[in-house]
Amino acid sequence: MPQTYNPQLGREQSYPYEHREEERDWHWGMVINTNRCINCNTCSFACKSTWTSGEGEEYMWWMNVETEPYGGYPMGWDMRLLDDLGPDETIFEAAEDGEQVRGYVAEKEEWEYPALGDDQSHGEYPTGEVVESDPHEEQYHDMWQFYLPRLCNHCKNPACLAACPRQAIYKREEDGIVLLDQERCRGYRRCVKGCPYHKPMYNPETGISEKPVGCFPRIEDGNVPRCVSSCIGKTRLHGNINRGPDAGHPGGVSSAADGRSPINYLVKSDEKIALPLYPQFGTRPQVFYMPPYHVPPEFLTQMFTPNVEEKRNDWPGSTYEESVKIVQQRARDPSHHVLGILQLFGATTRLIETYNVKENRVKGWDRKGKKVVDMPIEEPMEVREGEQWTNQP
Amino acid sequence: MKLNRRDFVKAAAAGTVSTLVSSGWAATQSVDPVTSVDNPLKSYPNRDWEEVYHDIYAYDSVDWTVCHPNCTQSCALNFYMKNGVPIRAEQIYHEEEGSPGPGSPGGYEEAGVSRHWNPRGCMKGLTLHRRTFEPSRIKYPLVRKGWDPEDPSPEGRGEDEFERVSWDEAIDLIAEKMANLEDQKRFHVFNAIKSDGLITRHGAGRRLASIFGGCEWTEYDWYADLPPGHVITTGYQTSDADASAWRQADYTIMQGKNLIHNKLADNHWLQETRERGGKMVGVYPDYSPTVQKCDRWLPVRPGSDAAFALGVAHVIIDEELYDPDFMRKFTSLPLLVREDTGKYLRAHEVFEDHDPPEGGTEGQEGLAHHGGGDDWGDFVAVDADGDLTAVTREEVGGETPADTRLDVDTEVTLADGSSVAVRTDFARQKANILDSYDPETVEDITTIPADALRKTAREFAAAEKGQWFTGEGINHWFHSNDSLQRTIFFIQSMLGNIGERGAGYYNYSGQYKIELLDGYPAYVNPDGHSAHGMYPGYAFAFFGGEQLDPHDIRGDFDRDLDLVPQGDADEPVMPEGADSYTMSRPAVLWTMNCNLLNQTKHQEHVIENFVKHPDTGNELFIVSDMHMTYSARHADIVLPVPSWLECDYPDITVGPENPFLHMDSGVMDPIYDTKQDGEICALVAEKLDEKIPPEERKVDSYREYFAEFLDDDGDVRNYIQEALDAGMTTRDIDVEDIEDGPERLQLKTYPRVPFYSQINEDRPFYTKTGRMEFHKEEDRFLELGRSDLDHFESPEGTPYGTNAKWEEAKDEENPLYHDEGYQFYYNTPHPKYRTHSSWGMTDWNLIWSSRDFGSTNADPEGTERLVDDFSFPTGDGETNDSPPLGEAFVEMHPEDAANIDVENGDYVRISGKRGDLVVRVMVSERQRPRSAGDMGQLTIWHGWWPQHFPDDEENDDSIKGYNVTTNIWLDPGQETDDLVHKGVFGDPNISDEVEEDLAWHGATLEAGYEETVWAPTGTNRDDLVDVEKYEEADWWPGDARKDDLVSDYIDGSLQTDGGTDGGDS
Ligand code: SF4
Ligand code: SF4
Repeated sequence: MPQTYNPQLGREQSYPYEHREEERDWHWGMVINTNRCINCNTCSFACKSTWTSGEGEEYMWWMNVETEPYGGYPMGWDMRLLDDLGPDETIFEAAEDGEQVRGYVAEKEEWEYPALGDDQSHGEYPTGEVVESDPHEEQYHDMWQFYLPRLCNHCKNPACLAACPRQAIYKREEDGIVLLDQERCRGYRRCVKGCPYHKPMYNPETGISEKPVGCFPRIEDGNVPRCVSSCIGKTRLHGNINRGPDAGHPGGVSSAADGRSPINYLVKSDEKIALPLYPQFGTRPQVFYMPPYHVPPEFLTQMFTPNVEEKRNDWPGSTYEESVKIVQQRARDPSHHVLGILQLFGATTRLIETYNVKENRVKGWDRKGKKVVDMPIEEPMEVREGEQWTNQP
Repeated sequence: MKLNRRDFVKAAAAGTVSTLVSSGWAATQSVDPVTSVDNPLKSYPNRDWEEVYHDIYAYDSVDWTVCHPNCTQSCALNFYMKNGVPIRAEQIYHEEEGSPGPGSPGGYEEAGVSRHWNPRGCMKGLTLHRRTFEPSRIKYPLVRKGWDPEDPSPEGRGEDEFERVSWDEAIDLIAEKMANLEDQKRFHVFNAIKSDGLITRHGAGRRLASIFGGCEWTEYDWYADLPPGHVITTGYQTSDADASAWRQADYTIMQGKNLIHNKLADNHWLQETRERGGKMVGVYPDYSPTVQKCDRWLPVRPGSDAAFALGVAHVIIDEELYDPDFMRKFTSLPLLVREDTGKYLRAHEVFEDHDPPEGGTEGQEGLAHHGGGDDWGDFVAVDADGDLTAVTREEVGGETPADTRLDVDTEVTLADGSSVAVRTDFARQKANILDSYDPETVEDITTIPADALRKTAREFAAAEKGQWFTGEGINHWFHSNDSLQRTIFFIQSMLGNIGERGAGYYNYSGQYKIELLDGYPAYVNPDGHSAHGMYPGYAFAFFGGEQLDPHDIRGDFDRDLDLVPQGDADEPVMPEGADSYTMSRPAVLWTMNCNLLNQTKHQEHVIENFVKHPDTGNELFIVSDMHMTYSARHADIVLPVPSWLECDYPDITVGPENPFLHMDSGVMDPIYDTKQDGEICALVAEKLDEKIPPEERKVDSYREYFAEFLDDDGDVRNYIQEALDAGMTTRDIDVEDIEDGPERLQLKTYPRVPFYSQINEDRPFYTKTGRMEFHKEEDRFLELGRSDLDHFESPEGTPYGTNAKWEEAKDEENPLYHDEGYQFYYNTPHPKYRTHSSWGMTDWNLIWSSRDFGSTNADPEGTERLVDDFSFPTGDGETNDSPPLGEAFVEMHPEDAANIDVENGDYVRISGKRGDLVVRVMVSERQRPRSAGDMGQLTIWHGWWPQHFPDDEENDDSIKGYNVTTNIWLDPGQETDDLVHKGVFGDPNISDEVEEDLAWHGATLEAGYEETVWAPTGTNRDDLVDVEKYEEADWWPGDARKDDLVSDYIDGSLQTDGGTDGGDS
């Protein structure tokens, strides 16, 4: 099997297909700030009402929000796989004979209860005590929960693509979105079995599988996906994960800022603040999470890092647990630059390609170099003069 | 077959659950050969098929309207239409070029707000179209078969079949009944959430009641949303800020408010405080979802909240962390109070040359007593030299005499030569708080550790701007709504946390924003006509009886109801002149936009003693609704109204935590034979003109007041424009402006900062002293021992002595708790996927509301539900059925569940003094166990429909629902006829023109009852219940909490050492 370098793991791994020589100029990516998420599931409803309200799709929630640690759709999906995998073993490396990917098919009942454990928390009731967190003091809630929005990661090593024996799943050249060809699919459900995130789903009415589409019809129009634009928590930012510091002005427009995309800054700069979900599976997922800063880092290390003893990638800290702790601190007290980027979350439906942050202003430009956001970091306060206004508390 | 989660996971792996797999699920596993694609990671040959998804995404057109249920937020949404039907909704991004809705550039900017408000609209807004098509919709007018205008036979309500009638018949029946009333006051209208359908929806019902001379039930007070502590302290109804002020705070205390789930659309402003360096501390009995966002959680015994705040006050006073200057300027704290009478010392009592006020200083009979003025005499403070100095009501803020002393305990010689002991208000509060509420005592009361309280108090005092939230939970407790709220104001004014962006004390429960829409009365009370305000809590208490003795009115009906738990206030205070809280029995009751019988507390009483009581005075019960709710099921006449998507007439709305004025109108044709409330009222008005001779009418023509609905060239937007023109806050807004998106209400500040003028421009508060008042001199407070700040144990919800201060209560036992074994506190917080009972039957919302028991495939194989009847009568014995996608549940701590041998999914019976119900259990670690502080907590998210509960087979009284055990209490402390407060629609709020010389203190003050401002706030949280096992569940998705795999997962050790197959494959 071909080998490929996985920067999230900091090592070579096997993957059944050769990668392109050069990374795409533009690749679908998302950052989710779990600290802002309020578990309203507006994203889930937005996704479902856009894509999966047809027959055979009743049970499908391409987008769902799970309350950790008790939620799970399908039930127990990550536990099952973590239990099956050895340390430092990707799903490709753990594949059984005759298969490309290690996985399992979640049965019908496991998909039945999308709201299982919603809003529940874990821990002993703190009788006579309090629950407190301060990531700078390495203090975390002993009783906890947090909300994990879950969606297709449009991975750079997609497991569904690797698993499909008909090669009906592909990665789009222009934006990296992973699609399942509805005309070619015959419903073997290898993708359903192979995707560790359980996002391809089988339609028992049509007999074929379906998978999330990254809202490509919107991306093609320069708009962010529905789960992003609908997010009233202003929890998400979407854009070009591949746009690094050396990239030029978008559309060649010199008045538009050049350099990194805002999500690239959050994920890849020295101020890294967002981590992939279960990078140890080896799929190079492209949704990145600002971790909840009140949750014990042991759990988050298992969930958001390669979770092996030897730290190999370029994340901060000397162990993965340290990486998590540092990122938690950054999320609790973001720098001014990060705070500026956070204002872009939920500011526009347009895809923000580049941006800049000033003292009290943040701006964003789209791929064509058109300014799509220009807003203060703090709104000015307005006071009306005149006797007649004074009676309105 | 019974599987827990671990078994399930394991079993699934081994394939032993294959019997559960439906046949459609099993697909072919064979692989037929196919032309290979070279490398799908790099490229793919034929992508034409992608059109499939372009087609799914495609739409014909976009139209927008506004979602505005009683979540109070109001969000504009775009609806994407295909073949005339909305296929999905999206939030509107205002300020967005190319945004199809009212979002074009200029929207927000013109309204003067930033795009930080984008996007607004939660998952409920996104399922409005599904709600429009759901099976519970009422399709045409219905009349109950057992009802006859001459013989209403109320016993058949809720059981009789319905008959379909035409709109003409329905309107005629209503008008006929109204025309034959001997007393017009016996026509009652009740519409909840008044700010949400002001003109062409249920507001039209108020207009009809006004010109007809009927009564209009109040709601903000009765639903327990009115925070009385606000009125007592500031004289102002509710002082909430715009959400955009929240993130300015340096420190936030969230007490008992699950803000992250009941203010969804604007919640991000709160989350953003922490990114900006703010700290957040939560005080809750359970790990509320909001606790997740808190840096510290202080677990509190339910009902003891006031003691927590008093403990914080203790630390601030004891360690002198307060701001004396602020206290001097803006509060009653430097004013002297007589020790003998408990009244504020007046200047004329000590200064010979100082004239007493014309009408005396007290207000037993309200303002009238003072000749209509606002002169209660001047007050007295002690200056820096120790001399007495007079302080007038206007000498506030910067005009306060300099350096008055805060802490004075002395004797003063009165003008008549006698002497009297006096203390400043501060000295009184200080002595009591230092004496009774040290953190250690507070720990005994609340179970909050003393050191954590100290730390919190110190940090809060040190923060530059601190904000404090309470809400529905606490506001609904009998005592907390008064003593807690007053104490929070006390703390905030000791720290100077009032009148500044990012500082304040907020409540955000209910929809009171109507007060700021000051042109509205011009529409609902045209030409000076207005309906009589009627308090439903009182109403329900006597519906079944004949007499109107005040004691009966207040709740002794049949002598087995004790709605007033304090024996020491025997005499109900009835409103003077009975202009508000007019006592009249509703011969005709018409509810609009309100699921009254589902949401009412003490439901069994209401059903038995009002709705179905053979002697009820209610001869006709009309329900206008979209859905066949529990209330509609009990109506005599059922009138179907359109969903917001189907509304023909535009209407306006506002919300308390945002600055917007929205106008909406439908996006699609009505799918059923429905009419909007305004049109129904117009048709009734027209019929009344036919039936009532001119000389017997209250107005020349009823129809005239609804002509814009009825005339061919009528345009209801004229009503909207007239209302806008009549109000200070809207008079520069044209209907055309809001046709293409929201405008901002015109208020003193943006964001709205309560009391900005009081603090920054030396304006008096709306109290007698012109200051935030902590000591209260009104007789009823003195009588009840509640004139100062104190904690009282609940009248029911406590293991200790009831209704008493801690000193007394701590050694007593509540017999209900100790002898009768009612040891759980019954908590019914606001749900997330519903708004109250709205969206209760909308499929996706129901599945998610039901959590562990919400299943996408209705009743999956293997699960035997007790709940099976989701049917809605449609007339003549026919019903509409829908699949049981979910059911209600009660959350219970595992320890308490284990005590009665209950596991996740089992059914229990909950019983209280007032009724019982059967419901499924969700074992939940976040609930408060009994062991944590005596009382355990049971939580049922409120707003379930009766269909969501199973029948109790051993006790089928047919009344079921989460409200059967709750209560309606009336607090005699809130029955005062002399409390001074701001008149809701007082000058200069309504004026065509505001003149330069309008002095601020020309603002109308009121004393005594005022609808939704000062009236007993209904309280219902103080309930104790018992719980017992009812039936074991057959199968459920599993109790993850017991699983080894899960515990390794939670510890983060599943992969490293918990793995069973580690590395060997
Ligand atoms: S819409 Fe946003 S805030 Fe709401 S659940 Fe989804 S990610 Fe969280
Ligand atoms: S329910 Fe409330 S928050 Fe949700 S969309 Fe409707 S108005 Fe907005």
